[in-house]
Amino acid sequence: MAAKDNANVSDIDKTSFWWAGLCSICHPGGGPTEYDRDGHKFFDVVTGEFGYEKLGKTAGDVTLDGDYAEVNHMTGDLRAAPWDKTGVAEPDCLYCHRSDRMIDQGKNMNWIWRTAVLRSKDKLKDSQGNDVPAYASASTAAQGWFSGFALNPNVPAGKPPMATTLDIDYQAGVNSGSLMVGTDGNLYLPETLVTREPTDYACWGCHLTPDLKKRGRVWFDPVKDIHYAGFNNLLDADPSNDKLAVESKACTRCHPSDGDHNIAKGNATLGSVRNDTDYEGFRTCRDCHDPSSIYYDPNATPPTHPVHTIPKHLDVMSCEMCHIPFKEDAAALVVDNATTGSTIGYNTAAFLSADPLDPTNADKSRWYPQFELKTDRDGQVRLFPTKLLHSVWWGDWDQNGTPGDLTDDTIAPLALWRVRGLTTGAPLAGVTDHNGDGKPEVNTLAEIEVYLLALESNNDKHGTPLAARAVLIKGGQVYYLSGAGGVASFPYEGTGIHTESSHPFSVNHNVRAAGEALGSTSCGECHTQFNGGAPTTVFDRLILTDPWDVNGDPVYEPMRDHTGIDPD
Amino acid sequence: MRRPMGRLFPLAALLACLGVAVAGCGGSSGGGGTTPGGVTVGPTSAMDHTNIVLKDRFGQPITLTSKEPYSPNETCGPCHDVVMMANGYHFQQGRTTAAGTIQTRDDFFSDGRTWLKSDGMYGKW
Repeated sequence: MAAKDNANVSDIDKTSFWWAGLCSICHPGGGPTEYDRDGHKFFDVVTGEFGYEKLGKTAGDVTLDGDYAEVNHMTGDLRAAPWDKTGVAEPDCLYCHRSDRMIDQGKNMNWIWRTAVLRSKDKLKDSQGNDVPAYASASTAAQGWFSGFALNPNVPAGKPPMATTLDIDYQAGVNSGSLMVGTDGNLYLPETLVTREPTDYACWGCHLTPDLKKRGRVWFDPVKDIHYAGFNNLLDADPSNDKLAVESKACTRCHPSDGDHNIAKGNATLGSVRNDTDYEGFRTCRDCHDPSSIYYDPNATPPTHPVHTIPKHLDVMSCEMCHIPFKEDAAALVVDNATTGSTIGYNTAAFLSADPLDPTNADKSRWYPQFELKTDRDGQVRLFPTKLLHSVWWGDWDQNGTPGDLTDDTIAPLALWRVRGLTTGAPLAGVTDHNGDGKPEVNTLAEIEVYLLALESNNDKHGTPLAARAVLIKGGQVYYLSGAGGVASFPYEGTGIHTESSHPFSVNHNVRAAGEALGSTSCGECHTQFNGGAPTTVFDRLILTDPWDVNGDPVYEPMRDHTGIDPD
Repeated sequence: MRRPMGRLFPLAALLACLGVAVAGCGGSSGGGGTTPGGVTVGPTSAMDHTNIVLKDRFGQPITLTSKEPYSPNETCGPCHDVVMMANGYHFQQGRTTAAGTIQTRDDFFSDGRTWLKSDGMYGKW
């Protein structure tokens, strides 16, 4: 995120305007898509003023303002953010509170329409070629209130859609029954259009893609998600009471909200936003399944397996650790931002397998979470399932004038538009595909040296040196040019340097039926003494720590070592 | 500590939920009838939105010939405290505190990482 005030265009990465057009496709409008960091609307359509004008500033004063500038991420060119053309994206009340959804061949069209319009930024036109304020029109598009809509056909597969044309036409709403015409000629919202509690489909639009990538989460699957099945009466013998997916409000059973719209949440391992609301109003597993809880739900099965009463077990293990025993849908596991300067992704199937003790097994139908310690609702620190995301990236190492003291060092990430200025989006000469997966990767010391030398000896297009002291962050290591020649490295863990190459995402959804839980068939899943002395599938499962070493081979460690917890 | 449900719930909305007529909002509770806009409605509920006129960014009612986008602020704002609601973390993503104070700044965590501007998605690297 770009700073509000910048001295040099090279300091600017993603600005508020970029955030509103890209990040906001998974956010409900308002806040950062409406107001600047001084609290003024980016552009007030009623007065025709930019927010900075409220402070007496001119366009010339905000050319490097993180709220009012934009850097083209392909070319590095700077321009003024055209909020006057896009308008601002207000809180999108109806996006979540509309009672029905347009689902077409499994696609959430409300989300697609809204996303595509936001992504078009200042390029959106109507059929007559007139400018359409994209950010301001996103809410209208999300409701389907248009007669003309066209997508940019050149958007690569897998990327969010981008609109080129939008013809706002409220007759479409009248035709669909989502709007009514009064005798005064004004349009009204039908009562049935609005729901107090959003349906799952409202959440699904934004959470589908990131939750799949980060956690391998699936939706509306009664086998892979016992709570979805239970909340919608899919587990009983009476098909007549089954709720359809479009009717499901399973999300709000555990994640209710109140008037302040802080949707109840747990304690995420990543993303610390509003930690003051952690667990407030949230329904944990114990809340509903523990008969002693004031929130006990008689429809929720109380624990019956003996493991729940064996001393120490529940002091260490969370409910989720055992009841989300595996995942069946691939998640992103590695993002390589180093080799080309653009993200090259690898999913769980590339490095994990259905055999937790043998990642090379050809069966990729499952993968297994790893475990991290996290504070539970009751204050107890327990092991929770997570999925690591490994990142590989270039940074600029500032030793703060004290080369003998690492504790005050910083490693600032290099903006990818600046890296791409060096690589032109392709690997530098000499980089090869050592692991034969069809994707080149920077892994040998010689390859790393090529990049470090180039980053330290080249400028970006604005004449700013790319890095004073370039480093590669990968697999828990900091790689740098040694004063003695060549590349040296050290592990950053424990040095005091705030940097990271692995990011644990909580795995909290897709709880399986009790019969599939860890330990449901044998204590030997965790304890070697009950497993004939052999490695166990839980504490000896191999987790990735480095996607490729200097030979191109992945590096793993057993869960037992990672957690520091040995159940034997 | 559990948060009290309904805290800060706007008075107009509360009155509407209680079936008390609020100017500009669908305040009737049951019985049906015809709205000032002339739309005939069936039996209404406590969550009555039949009388909500769709408005644009200028606060003007939208008609079939309008090409202006509808404005959630202008449409929902007369009854609901949209500003308060939009201070929820889903909207702000780290931009503000619980009190609505803008908190984004360089080196948010005061540990030298100048590139982190908040504790949420708005301000992350």
